[in-house]
Amino acid sequence: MSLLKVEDVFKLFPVRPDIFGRAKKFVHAVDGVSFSVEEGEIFGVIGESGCGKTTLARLIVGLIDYDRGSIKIKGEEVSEVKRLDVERFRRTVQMVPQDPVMAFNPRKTIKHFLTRPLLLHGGLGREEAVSRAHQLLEEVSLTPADFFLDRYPHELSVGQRQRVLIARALSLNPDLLVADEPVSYLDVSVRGQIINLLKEVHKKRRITVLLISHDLSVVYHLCSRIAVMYLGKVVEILDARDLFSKSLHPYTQALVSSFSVGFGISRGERIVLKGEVPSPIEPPSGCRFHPRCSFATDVCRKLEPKPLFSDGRLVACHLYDRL
Amino acid sequence: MNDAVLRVEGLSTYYYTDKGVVRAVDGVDLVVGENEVVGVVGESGCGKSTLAASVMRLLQPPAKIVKGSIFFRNVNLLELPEEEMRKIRGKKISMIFQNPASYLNPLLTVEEQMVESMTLHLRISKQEAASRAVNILEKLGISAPDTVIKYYPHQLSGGMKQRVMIGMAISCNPELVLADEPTTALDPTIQVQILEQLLELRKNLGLSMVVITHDLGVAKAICDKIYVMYAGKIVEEGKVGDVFNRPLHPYTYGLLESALSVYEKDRPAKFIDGAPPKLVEEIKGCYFANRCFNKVDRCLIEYPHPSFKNGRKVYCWNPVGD
Repeated sequence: MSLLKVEDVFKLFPVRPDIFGRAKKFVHAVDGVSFSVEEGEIFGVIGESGCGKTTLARLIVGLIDYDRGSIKIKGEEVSEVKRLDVERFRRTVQMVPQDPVMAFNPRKTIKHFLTRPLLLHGGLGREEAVSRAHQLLEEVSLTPADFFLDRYPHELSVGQRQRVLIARALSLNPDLLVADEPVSYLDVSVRGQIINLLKEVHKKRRITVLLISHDLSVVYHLCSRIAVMYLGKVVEILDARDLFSKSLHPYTQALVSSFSVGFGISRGERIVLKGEVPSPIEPPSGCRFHPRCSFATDVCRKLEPKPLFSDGRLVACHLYDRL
Repeated sequence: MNDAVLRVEGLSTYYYTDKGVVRAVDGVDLVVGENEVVGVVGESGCGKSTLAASVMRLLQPPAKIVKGSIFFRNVNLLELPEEEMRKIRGKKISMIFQNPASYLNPLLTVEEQMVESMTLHLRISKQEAASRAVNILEKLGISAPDTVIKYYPHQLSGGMKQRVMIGMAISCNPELVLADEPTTALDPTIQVQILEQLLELRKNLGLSMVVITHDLGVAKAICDKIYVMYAGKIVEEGKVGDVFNRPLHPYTYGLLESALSVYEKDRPAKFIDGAPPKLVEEIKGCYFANRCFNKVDRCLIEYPHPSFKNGRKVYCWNPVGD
């Protein structure tokens, strides 16, 4: 059963609205996105900056509201649950924020940071909350836990802070964990620890994870399926194992080729795309990727490709008429 | 080794802070040959940016160069008066900075910023400099350069800003370019464009380059020779192919494993346990010993002497694969 179902979701941000909140132009951050995440899977979202992946995460966690479409977690519409019972909603889905430095209040200890959600949402007493925080720290291998409970954020390394963030996101036993770039602040030599921790947590708790990252290797390593976003749209959904060798969309192929520069992971010639990502305020007509695509034809310039589905796989490109 | 463009010998740059002396760069030797692209690879805090700033003599207190020499074409930059150094900085040696957004002046147009160094160093008129700037931007793949040149930095995308930075760096025909994380702030599809551009410049202008990066893939893609830096010291150097195919230092080995293991799905991701030492403390023995899987007793007592092997150099008592 799918735990998260996103259907034709739109989020437009007004550009320079007048005093009545009306705007002539909009940033098309998330522009008709659909996909579903099965219970217990790690689902990845990749794309370059400005493609809408963080906006998508914020919509799913309910930090901002979508304009149109539907996001359902365990069959319940996010906008509804959020309105009717926000506390229950927060227990359903939690987020691991991107920046392990900004996410902390520098004046509060780790104990404060970890017990807050337990006191506010978990209905625990102070003592229970502290012992629960203790367990959580052990779960993310920050031991001795008593030592870490009394530390301030600046006394921890970035990797340790990232563990605390994961512990906090898990504290209410959510069904869905949204992790936005959980390792992008870490050095390569320590990144593996957090990757392994996420794997371990996922396996033990059978939790569903939506992992957002610009780092293709991390997404490949952790996820079962991956959605590729470009300018607010999902252009391809594929099995992670196919990412480096069997992607279909020309954008995915170019992204893979550029990302693994030097390591020669992808096959064939290096693909160097022309130009830059166009503005999401006035996205190109037809297929949004056509100005940079070397396969673009007249139809790509005029007509937006309809996504083709088959077996959990999706591609939105005129090059393909069937999967 | 007289044909070296840049020769850094025993360079030490320390930061004199309240908490003690931070030995950010600690006895570094580095050679850049004619038309060579040299990579300095290391993780955050290893001293690689301080190394670049030392070569440019752009350090501010509490940082200070305490030892060593930096020869550029056999002239020791550290002995030059500031006035002479200004004639070299930006002309013969120029720098591309990590984050173009914070190094471009938001109040000046691209033209004003590009023209300044050319009028100063090449002694040409503003008009001449402006037309040169348009030319350079065009070569760097900016379409409609005569429009772009009138723009302010906020009107440019990240990739364009980096192109303008590169344009400024090459505008006075430098012999050596130091690029500090030139593509880190960029998305992968733009990163590839900029890397190709740098390689082209090297070919067309006969430039020598030092590329400072934490990204092993970037280093492998564009460098001829690399230096691996850890805790203020060079731990290994050699031709790119050698170092990547057969790393000798356990740190290099671990770093490569950490990066590459993530490309495999069915095994745990690799990492190097522990954290780099604090550079204010006195360290006995090898700086990497506390995290090393290959250490021997001697590592804890004495800092390794370099050993040489087929044009490679490694600072390790017990290299990988020996």
